Amino acid sequence: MTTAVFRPKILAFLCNWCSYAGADLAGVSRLQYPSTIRAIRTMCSCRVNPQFITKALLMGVDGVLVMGCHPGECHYIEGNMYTRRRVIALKKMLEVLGINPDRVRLEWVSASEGTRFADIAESFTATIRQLGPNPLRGG
Amino acid sequence: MRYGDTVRKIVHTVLEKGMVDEVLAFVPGIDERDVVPAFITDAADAVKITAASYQPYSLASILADYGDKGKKIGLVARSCDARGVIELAKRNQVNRDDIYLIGIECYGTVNPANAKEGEVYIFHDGMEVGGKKEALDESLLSANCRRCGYPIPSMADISCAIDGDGATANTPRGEEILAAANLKSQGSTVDASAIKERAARWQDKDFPDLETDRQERLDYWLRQFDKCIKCYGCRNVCPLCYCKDCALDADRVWVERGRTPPPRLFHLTRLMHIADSCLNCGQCEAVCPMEIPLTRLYHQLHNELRSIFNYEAGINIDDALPLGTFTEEETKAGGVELG
Amino acid sequence: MTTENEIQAPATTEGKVGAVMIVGAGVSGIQAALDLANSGFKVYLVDKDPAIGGRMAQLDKTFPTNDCSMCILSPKFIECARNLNISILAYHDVKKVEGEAGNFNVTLLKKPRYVEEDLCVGCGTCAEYCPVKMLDPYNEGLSIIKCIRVPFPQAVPAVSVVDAELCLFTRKRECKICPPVCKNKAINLYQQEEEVEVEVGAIILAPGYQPFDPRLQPEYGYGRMSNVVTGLEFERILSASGPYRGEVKRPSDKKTPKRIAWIQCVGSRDTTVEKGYCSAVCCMYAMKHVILAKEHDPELEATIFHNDVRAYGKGFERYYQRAQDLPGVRFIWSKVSVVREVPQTKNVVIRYGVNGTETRDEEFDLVVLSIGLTSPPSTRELAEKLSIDVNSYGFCHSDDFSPIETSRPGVYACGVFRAPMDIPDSVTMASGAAALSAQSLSEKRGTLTAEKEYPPERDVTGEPPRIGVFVCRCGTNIARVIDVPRLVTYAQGLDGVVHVEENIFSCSIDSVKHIVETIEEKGLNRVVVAACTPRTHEPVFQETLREAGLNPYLFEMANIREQCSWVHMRDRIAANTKAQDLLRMSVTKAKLLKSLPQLPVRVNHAALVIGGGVAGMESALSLAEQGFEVHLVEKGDQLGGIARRIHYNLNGGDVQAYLANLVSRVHDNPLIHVYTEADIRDVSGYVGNFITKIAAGPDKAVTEIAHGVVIVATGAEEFKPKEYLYGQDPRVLTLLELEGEITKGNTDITSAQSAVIIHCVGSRDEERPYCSRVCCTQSIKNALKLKELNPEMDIYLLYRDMRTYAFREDYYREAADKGVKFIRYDVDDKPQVEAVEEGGKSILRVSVPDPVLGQRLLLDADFIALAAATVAPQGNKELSQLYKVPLNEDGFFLEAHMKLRPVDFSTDGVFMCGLAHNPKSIDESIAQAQAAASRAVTILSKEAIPAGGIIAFINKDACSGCKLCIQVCPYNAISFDEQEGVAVVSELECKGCGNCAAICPSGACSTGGFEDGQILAQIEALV
Repeated sequence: MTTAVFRPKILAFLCNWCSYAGADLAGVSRLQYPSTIRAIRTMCSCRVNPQFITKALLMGVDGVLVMGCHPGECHYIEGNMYTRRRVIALKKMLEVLGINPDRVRLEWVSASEGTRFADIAESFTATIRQLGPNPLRGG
Repeated sequence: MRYGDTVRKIVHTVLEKGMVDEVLAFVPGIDERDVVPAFITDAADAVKITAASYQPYSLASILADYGDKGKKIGLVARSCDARGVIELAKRNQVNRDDIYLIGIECYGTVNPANAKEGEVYIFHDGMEVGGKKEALDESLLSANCRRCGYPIPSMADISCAIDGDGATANTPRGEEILAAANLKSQGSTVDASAIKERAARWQDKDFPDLETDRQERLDYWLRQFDKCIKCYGCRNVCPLCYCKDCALDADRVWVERGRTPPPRLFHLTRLMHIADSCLNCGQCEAVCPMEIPLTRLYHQLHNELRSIFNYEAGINIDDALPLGTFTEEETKAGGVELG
Repeated sequence: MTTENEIQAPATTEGKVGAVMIVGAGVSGIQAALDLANSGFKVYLVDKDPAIGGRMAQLDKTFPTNDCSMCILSPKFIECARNLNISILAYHDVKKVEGEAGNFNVTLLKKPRYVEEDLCVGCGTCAEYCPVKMLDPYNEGLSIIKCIRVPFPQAVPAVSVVDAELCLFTRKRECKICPPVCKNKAINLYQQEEEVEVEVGAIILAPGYQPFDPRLQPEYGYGRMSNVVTGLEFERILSASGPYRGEVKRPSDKKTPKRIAWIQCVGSRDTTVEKGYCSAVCCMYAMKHVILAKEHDPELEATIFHNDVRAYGKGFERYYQRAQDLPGVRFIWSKVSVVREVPQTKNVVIRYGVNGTETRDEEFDLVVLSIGLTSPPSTRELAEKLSIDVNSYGFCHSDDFSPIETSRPGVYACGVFRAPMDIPDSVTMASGAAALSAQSLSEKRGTLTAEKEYPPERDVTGEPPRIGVFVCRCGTNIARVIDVPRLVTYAQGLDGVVHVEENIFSCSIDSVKHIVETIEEKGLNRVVVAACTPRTHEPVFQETLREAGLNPYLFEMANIREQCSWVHMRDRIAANTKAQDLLRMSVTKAKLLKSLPQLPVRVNHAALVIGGGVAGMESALSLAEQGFEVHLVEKGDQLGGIARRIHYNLNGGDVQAYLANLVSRVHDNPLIHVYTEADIRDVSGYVGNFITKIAAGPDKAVTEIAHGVVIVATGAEEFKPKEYLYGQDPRVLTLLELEGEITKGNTDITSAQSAVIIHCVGSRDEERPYCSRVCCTQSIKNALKLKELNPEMDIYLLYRDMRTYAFREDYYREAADKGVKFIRYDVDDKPQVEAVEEGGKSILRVSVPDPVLGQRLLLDADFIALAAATVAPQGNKELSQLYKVPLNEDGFFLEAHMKLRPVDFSTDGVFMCGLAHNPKSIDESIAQAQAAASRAVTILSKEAIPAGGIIAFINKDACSGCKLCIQVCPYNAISFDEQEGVAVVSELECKGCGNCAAICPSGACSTGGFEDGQILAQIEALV
């Protein structure tokens, strides 16, 4: 009997101006990274209501990435300052609830950091593989 | 002298002198254990106010829902009520300037259903039932109250002792009230540290250690959530749930219509909406027909967030909500964590 | 109401052309192009290179904010490409220019790309097949690229180009691999040079610079030693898109350097290579390199060898502090020589001076030469073709009182061609050049610009979704990895989809036309394109929807190229699954998309200018000469500002004559209303429709002014020193006071035997940690004036860093040549001044440490001048609150973006110029004033500005009035309606970030195109 290979499903919220552009640059540069990630584009990372992340986890997504412009570089001046606090709070909620907060990761990726985007995709996928399937999956 | 005489005297004064238009406080209902909230307009009715240790509603919530806008209203407030008013004021649901917070010390409340016969008064060092003083039975206290470290409502305009005639002015308005009532601000004589220690002890006991098995914790909470019959009771009584149109209603996008137990997002949305400011007032848990220990969850997360964001809910009206603000230092920090 | 067309036209109006040619499409050219195209002029944006962007496109980050250069620049590329009124003529040279101001006939040479621009979609397949490798010029030759390639990933136009000198076919007719691999048949290796003629009314020259070639100074070892690199090469090394993908490595062995030295002033301030000027940016970019390299490797030891650190711009001194405060960073004031390369390690040994007497040799792993900016021969040729004067260094000759004009009417210069300058100064000057062009062609505004007409928009509310899905093969870019026919079949099964097809290139002209027809034929009311990234292509398809009578927001893209086929080439199964997921997510969202209205809001065409100094008057005049009514508000009783105390400039120009002329032009202009002794009482409204209440005149009569824009030009003041006996001894004066006394002919001053000028008084200290920028030049200017009046006078300048940037350096040298003595002092050991009695006569004695002799030098002076700081006026605070615009920590106004929006506030419709922004010289103030006018006209010239699209909206029935949205809005775009107790979004001020929607607990607040329900649907569709 063979055990089914665990193919993590990862959702990434990417802001239009930096991280989505960074993901595009990874593509333009033909950097190869795991096919685990599906992106939802928002104009700014601050659009990401923490409940979106919760919802994704409850739907059984194995990991959620939130990416924004580096601090000080937000296209909307300071949107990412709020994102940071919200993601920190959300991760704490997961911890209290009993879900490994490592399933959610916030990262800053600029439009020129295609390599960084690919590296994060790689390392986050590895993290999720290690954590295994989302315990909420199918529940 | 009856317990709560100081409060009654002050309420009498503020009504008589016209400092406020009305005062919201608990008065006895059908029997002494049945306390009901009432807006008192006649100074003569101040005498009805009960100081017994029951708290079946959040008065902050009632004030926001039913208090007339524009009127000066006095509120006889335990810490959780006073803090609730401050949090609601931050959310523009009440106008702090119009509210006279007449605080009353509180060392814990009991659920009337669990209470012994007779009015119940709880002190920092004991309790009194039916006129008889006895040692404090902690098991009688509501679970949230055992975890509460705010015995003295120092965030109110004045804080009154439950027994004796001690009263302390915490604000210029508080001084004004005390002067009108011919009382001297004397500072609380109670050592709050024992209560804080009790709070820490119970928090320690009630809150699962975050270092221990996650799966167990998750299973526990999922089981609890799955008891839910979606009666919306927790939301309805929560002083922080002020939305007139709730995102969790059935006609909105977040929670599917006609499903019980509701999607777990129901609980987690409430948790995220209030955790940064949860007052640990215990109303959600008290009202839940399925006995889901909600306050415990909210309070634990709140404690965690409080230390991360350095935010103490319900103390200073100028402290912005932690998820709606950031600091100057944060703009200079490059990482994804704080501190 | 006055409109611009009603103003009396000069006699030469006939025959003027409402178009402008801009030569050079770097950041300057781009800025000028956008300003002009957005205010009613046709623009030809010409560049000799195959893509726009200039040097800035090569930079990694930008000082002093460390913003990613490409991140902030590439949106401007797209803006240019999308603007109907900008023709990008990349890879064109100017051949000749005939005619005169108002009507030039320009002949351009279109160089062969060997690729048809209208057919190539930039997919890059050709490069994959091309066998010829070359050094990538974008990476300064540090990496390899193919000889047919898109110049860099974000290039606009995104079209391939063939390097004809290397291509096997163009060279020797040998290889023809690429033409057949192009699915679009875009490659034409037989292309020839073509002549193109354009008619324009004005020309803006922004040809930029060439970095100094350090091979001209072989003593630095560049070219011989592999670990000696130029600053620009190091810029590419730092860049994440650079040769080492953002890892700092050295060329010889690709190891991480642990000790890096920067050598400043290579090819600058050096008459031996005919570069006597200061390149103005190298100190700052070296600091940036240090800070970034230290971020890459905190252990790095960084050493900067400099001859004065010139951190003179806004925010620069703090940046300098930041670099200095880093551990392991040394700034060493010394000339250096590169001694040798260590053969085994390829390390480089540098010799430098210690304590002024001895020398030391030190080994470094990598040496970065901070090379200067030069004007290349091609720019001289261009200047010759246009018959405009250049200075001895080959930069544009210009006059301080008309800094943007060239010697030929109708031709303007900006950017580094004018003088070495940084990005914000370039952008400022570019906007200024746009303003001058617009002034000269004002009556032709709108005559050559086009506005696209669209069919009326179909109301789709209530219709069940009828989604059309178009799957792009992108030649083979997508199709090679994704099974497109299978994806088409998959899409057919998705709910709401009524039409699916595949295209070779969905964005090709044919396909786009076909999509329009399909929308009409099949009655589609939503469109999904599965192709490349929405960041570049969404606008193309949104346009398509509009052409088909659909609201452009009924469109969604699935990015199956950049984020799928290109990144999962080795795992086709997974890539195909992912493509299906992405498409499903897009279709699911598309079902819920709504039309987003864009409502025009009428614009009031008058401007309010606050401050009647040089900056305020110049911007008022520029606006009035472009036909707009201006209300000029001055708090004092007469116009002129601080310039009334300045009498001559560095070149000897007569400031008072200029000022008198300026004041009379302002008073004579019928469109300018001057209010003196005026203060602002109240402000309401927003961009396009402000109302400002002012109280003016001796009787403080209150007037209500309606205006569409505001320009803040409130000036600055000279600091009143508290040290060096100032205020106690009348012989101690500030520089402005000195200038007044010299002009008055005070012989105590002009006949003095000895004078001392002390620099940085009140600047660069703890209280004011900024450089006042102008004082070094002002003190040189006055020292030269004194020497001119009294050549025998001993003049000592006690300075910390001499900051005579750009051509000001020539005067610094001149002053030294004329015998002015320069003594450098350290902030920790400042000069001391005392009044002493000697021989029955009182003298001022200055003592200053002499680092060479190690003792204090005593200087006796007849007078002392203090180069006092320039400080922001107190009144700025109030103004900042009234117009909701920020101040920086020094009290000057803070622009929307330090680099690319130097005169804009983040509040739309409010602009700034002059000393209100930061200390600056008169010529810089004039240029900035014209820039502010240019930016203002992009609003004033419109009848209406669109509001709507992706912005927040509030369902007032659900709003509980908690004001959290108001609290978190970065743009103050949400206000509170006290009557209704609900929050209200200002459509014009909202930028659509969605912060409000994320914090609103009831979901009453949402963002168009990014509603909760839409995002939740995407999440649900993923699983």
